[in-house]
Amino acid sequence: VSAECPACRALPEGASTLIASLAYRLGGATVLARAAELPLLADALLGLQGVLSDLHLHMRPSDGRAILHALRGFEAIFADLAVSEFDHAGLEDLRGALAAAQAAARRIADLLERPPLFAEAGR
Amino acid sequence: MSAEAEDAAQLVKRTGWFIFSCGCASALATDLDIKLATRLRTMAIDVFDRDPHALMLEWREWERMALWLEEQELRITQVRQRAAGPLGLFGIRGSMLAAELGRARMHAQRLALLVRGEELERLASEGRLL
Repeated sequence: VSAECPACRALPEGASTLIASLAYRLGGATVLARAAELPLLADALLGLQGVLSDLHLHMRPSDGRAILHALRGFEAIFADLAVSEFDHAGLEDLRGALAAAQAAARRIADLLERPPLFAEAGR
Repeated sequence: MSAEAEDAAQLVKRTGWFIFSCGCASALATDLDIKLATRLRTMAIDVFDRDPHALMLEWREWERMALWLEEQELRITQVRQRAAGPLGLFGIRGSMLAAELGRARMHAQRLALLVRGEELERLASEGRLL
């Protein structure tokens, strides 16, 4: 983390790459949600990307957990939809994309919550 | 928030949307089974992997990415237009892909302008501009 970069000063090492990965995954999931004709889910994912972009500068551990929580909520809604009349092959891809986004969000939350001493020792 | 932090916030936000657009385009390209998908993913993650701050990417690099995205957008559009039917070879997905590539290009162009503006400001403050 560069001391000269005001955006990254507060973020632990590796967090930026994970945030990039989450943004990318959210993009993929958004397209798949649109293709599966789930516009509300697509809008929610789009909104989450907006939140992520806003938070990036001053992301706190609780923000990482909040994003993960939101993704889990989407997954629960999606699981309900998947067994209903929306069920088709494209939903499998969407399930995978949501899982990948969740994994990235979980790693961000874990990284932000790691005690500073542990983070230092890991460098 | 200081002007410096505000500029940094703009860059971070715009970079986030750039990567999101690459993710959208990559998912569409995967669906169409074209190689573009892998390149888009590499480009999006590379932005942060090569330099975790992204903000430090030179404006020329953003411009290069914008140019590449424009080329892909044109290629997709041309292939679509060559094929028969109102939506051409790739159908509605092709049209969505071209639009998404356009969005990613726009973000890259804006990022190039932002970074270039900052660079010019720095040079001016150091008295290094003619």
